Amino acid sequence: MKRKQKGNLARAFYRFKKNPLSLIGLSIILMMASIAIFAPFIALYPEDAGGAVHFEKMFQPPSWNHPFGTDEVGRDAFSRVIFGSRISLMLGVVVLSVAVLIGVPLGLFAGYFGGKVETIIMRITDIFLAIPPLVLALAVTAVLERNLQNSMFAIAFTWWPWYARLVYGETLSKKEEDFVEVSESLGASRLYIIFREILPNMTSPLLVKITLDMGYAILVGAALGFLGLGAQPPTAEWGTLVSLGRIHLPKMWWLSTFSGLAIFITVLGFNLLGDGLRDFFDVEVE
Amino acid sequence: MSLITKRDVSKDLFQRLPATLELVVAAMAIAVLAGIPLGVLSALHKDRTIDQLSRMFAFAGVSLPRFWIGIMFQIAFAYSLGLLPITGRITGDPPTHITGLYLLDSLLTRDFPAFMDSFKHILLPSITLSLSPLAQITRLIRASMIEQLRKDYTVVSRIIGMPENLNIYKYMLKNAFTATLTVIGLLFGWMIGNAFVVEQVFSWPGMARYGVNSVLRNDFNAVVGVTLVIGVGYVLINFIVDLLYGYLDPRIRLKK
Repeated sequence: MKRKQKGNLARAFYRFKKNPLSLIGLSIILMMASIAIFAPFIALYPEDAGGAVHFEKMFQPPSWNHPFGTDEVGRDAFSRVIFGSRISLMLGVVVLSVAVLIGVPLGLFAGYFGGKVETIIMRITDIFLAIPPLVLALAVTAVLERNLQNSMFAIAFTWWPWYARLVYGETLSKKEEDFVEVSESLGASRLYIIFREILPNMTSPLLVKITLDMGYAILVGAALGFLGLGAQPPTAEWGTLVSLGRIHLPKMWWLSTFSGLAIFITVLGFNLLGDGLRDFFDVEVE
Repeated sequence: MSLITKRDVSKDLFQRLPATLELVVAAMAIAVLAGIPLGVLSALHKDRTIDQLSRMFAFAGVSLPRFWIGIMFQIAFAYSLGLLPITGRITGDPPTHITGLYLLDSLLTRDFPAFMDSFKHILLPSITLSLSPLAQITRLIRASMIEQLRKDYTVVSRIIGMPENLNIYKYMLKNAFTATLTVIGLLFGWMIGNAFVVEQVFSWPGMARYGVNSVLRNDFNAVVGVTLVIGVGYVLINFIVDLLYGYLDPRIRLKK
């Protein structure tokens, strides 16, 4: 028994190592997370993350003092990009937590109970899935005040149906398994079976989907920021930074370029890791 | 009725719909026409240089923020090299209105300067929009082609000496493509969503840009209109995809 376990672990580790891309992805994410945590120490001018103004040094191209240049009121673009990591990562975490907390129980209930519960939950899910996520998020921000919290809410609002559907499908196949039948005949309560027997058996597809979705959610959040529907200036959010820098093209190219690059690298990290985890757990997630 | 401009929302929408349609269709055409050969190539050269390159490209394609890569294209091709126009659909007057799709209209009226001009205008936005779908289609075609390569019928046709290209493109690709079709339907939805961002970057006078501006102006009626049209369009596209399934796969067509 013990030897078999070790064999599995060794094989899993071998598979993970064989895919250097997922290691790169993991290092990117760890790097971004530490940048977000230690932002005040890494940023050269932490006060520039907010609404500071230094007109005497506006629009400076990248240099040693200002690695990413300065913006239209002389703020250090590097410090603003560093602080932007906090917002984007937080947005990803909040959106996915909400989506998982709503979508997973609904999917479990729909799959396990069947009947009316299933019909109601899954038809509502279908309605949400009929509209492309970014469009629905836009429509939701239209009725709300425009700020970061509301854009997170709007994205989470469009995100949970995907989890409901994934978990629903998994539940349908898991509830036919013997271990569920055994628990039922032993007289376990339904909630116990759902959350302690069925749910733990779908952690790997969930984990893969959450990792891949982190990147996607950050992209959507940045897109909303870019359109002016998310975080509002002077907050340093990556999408907002790109759109502010765009006004000063083509001469002040550095403003949009570096903040966009930060989004790209972060999203790439999550995609690489998610893809590696998919091979690692050997699961199919769309 | 719009709350701000006091104009008829449906009229405004249908005036802008062709622009968005043209952009999305052009982008999808690029994604499919480039994605299929790329996918087939990387399946045939699995784990070789071409495959590794296309994998890198795929990762980059899905991770790039659309608005940012659009801006980078503008800096590179429009500002620096001056090869392509920065924004808009056409310089000067649009061609005679028939469908509202400038490329098609100019062809129908044999207005070739207008065709070239709108072609240049649509190039950057449609490439920007096509990158992520292109990457996804490439990966999908690759995966299903690899599956087909292992099937018995492939081995048999090789043994009986069927020309390799005929085998690949007529038999295997047809089977591989069916699996990709559903995803293409879903990708249309993705594209319409991201058209909002791309139209904003390239000042493309489409429906999505109208939608964003309506949101920014708190013009709720217009927002509902845009969402509704897009929702209906999305359902329609998926319906067409279902029909195409039957066309490609006789098993589905004949099933009662």
